[in-house]
Amino acid sequence: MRALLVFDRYNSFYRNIEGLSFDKAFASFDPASHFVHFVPAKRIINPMMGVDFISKIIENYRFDILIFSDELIVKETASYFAGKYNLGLIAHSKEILFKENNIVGVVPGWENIQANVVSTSNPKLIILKSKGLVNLPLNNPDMIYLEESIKARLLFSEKLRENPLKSAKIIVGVGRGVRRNVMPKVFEFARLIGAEVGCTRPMADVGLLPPDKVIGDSAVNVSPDVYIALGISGAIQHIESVNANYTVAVNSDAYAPIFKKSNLSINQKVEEVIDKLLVLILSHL
Amino acid sequence: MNIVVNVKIVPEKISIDKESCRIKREGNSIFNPLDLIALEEAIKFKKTDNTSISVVSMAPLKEKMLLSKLFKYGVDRVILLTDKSFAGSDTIATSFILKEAIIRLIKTYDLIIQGDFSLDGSTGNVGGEIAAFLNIPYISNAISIEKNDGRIKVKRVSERIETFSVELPALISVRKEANNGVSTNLFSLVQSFNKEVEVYTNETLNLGLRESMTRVLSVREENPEAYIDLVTSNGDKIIFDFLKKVGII
Repeated sequence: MRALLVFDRYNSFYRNIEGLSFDKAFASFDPASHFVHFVPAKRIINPMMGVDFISKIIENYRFDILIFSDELIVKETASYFAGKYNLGLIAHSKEILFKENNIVGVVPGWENIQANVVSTSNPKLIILKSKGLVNLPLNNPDMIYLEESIKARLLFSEKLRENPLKSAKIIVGVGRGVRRNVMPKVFEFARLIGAEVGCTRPMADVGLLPPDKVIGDSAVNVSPDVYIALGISGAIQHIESVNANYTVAVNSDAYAPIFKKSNLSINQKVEEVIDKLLVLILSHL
Repeated sequence: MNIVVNVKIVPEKISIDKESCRIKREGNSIFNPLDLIALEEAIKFKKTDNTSISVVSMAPLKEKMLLSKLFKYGVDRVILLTDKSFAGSDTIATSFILKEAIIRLIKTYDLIIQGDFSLDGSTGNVGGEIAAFLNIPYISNAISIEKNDGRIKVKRVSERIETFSVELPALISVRKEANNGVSTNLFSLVQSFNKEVEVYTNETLNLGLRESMTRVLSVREENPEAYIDLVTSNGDKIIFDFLKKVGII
């Protein structure tokens, strides 16, 4: 089984398949990479170029499976590639398994559901989650020459303000168990302990917090020292995106899945806890 | 400018039928919120240009009533693609059906807009797949789309804010931050009474059988269980002690 692993800058999705006995080749969208087998002669800036790059690789090498990282330009390329060659695409896999002689993508779904998804395409296409970088051995990559892409020309690229959640050491996360009238108290609590406030997607959808505060799949991944989850049930999309050293969870539902991940599990109403906690902290200062 | 907006109808509350491994669609339905953001981007063009907006949606026939509400926002045509054989389509099969409908029923189009992903499937695959089928450029995560010298200028957010000049026709998918969604205007509301949703089936479109290429083998739900180490009282004090112990306060 031969696999081509495609990424732009973040290659840690490789960790998710390290144990599988594929023959692996790597392709990076970054022309300066020396740690892969294939690079483009110029940086890939749109999915049409991405597909051109992959197409030229597979003209000369046969692969049974193409595994794409979940970086934006790579995901765009994966879907464009699927359309161009009429292939099934399994998105958002968190791992790949071998089951009954088939490659299975494990896809986190809604609430606590996970789906095992298979593809009848050849080659199989899977987008796999990635969270950072791993060390790959030094290589002498083949350079792939691409056509000039005029269909979508990049005019400007401006630096985006770094999302403070990404580097926060302490994060207070809020979910649907936090009522609107409790939010000011949550902000005050976060201010007092020097924490950033993040939230689950439904909280942003109803406008309680801006979209850049969403922690989750297709939003921000965070790695704080301490994560304090208030009223968060623990949907897979959210939990999988939090890589905390220590998690405190407060939830009135004794069956909330967040309690499976938390180190300190408080089964009480958020408003009850936060009121008294604010009094304690203010009297301590 | 002829603009196509692909609008998906999603269940208000998402749950899975574990037997069929499909999303249950018996309850109330809503428009996929990001597709209404896409629709508003199209309506912005209507304010400054001679623009026609066609919505294409693949959904069960019962959603015809919900789709008819789109006219009051200023949509000119609403096309409902409905057939039992479309049910359970994966993204590549869905993209194929939408692409065929666009080619056969709309014919001339300058721009296709849709949300980045749907609330139920959440794959984000369909935009790129349709664009590739139609051999037109595709940019996702857009926060603004403007006309610019026969092309469009698209601003999108990735790890940076990137501005592209894109050849038309093109398919652009949008993020939530693009606008605040659609609103009714009186002129469109009055006009909407004379408009009808156009319904097409597999037979009238003559697409033939279209098989999905991915399949959900199984779904697994983690069963709720009681946790033995739950703290049920004095949580405030316990958190306070923890914050003190680790030096946060």
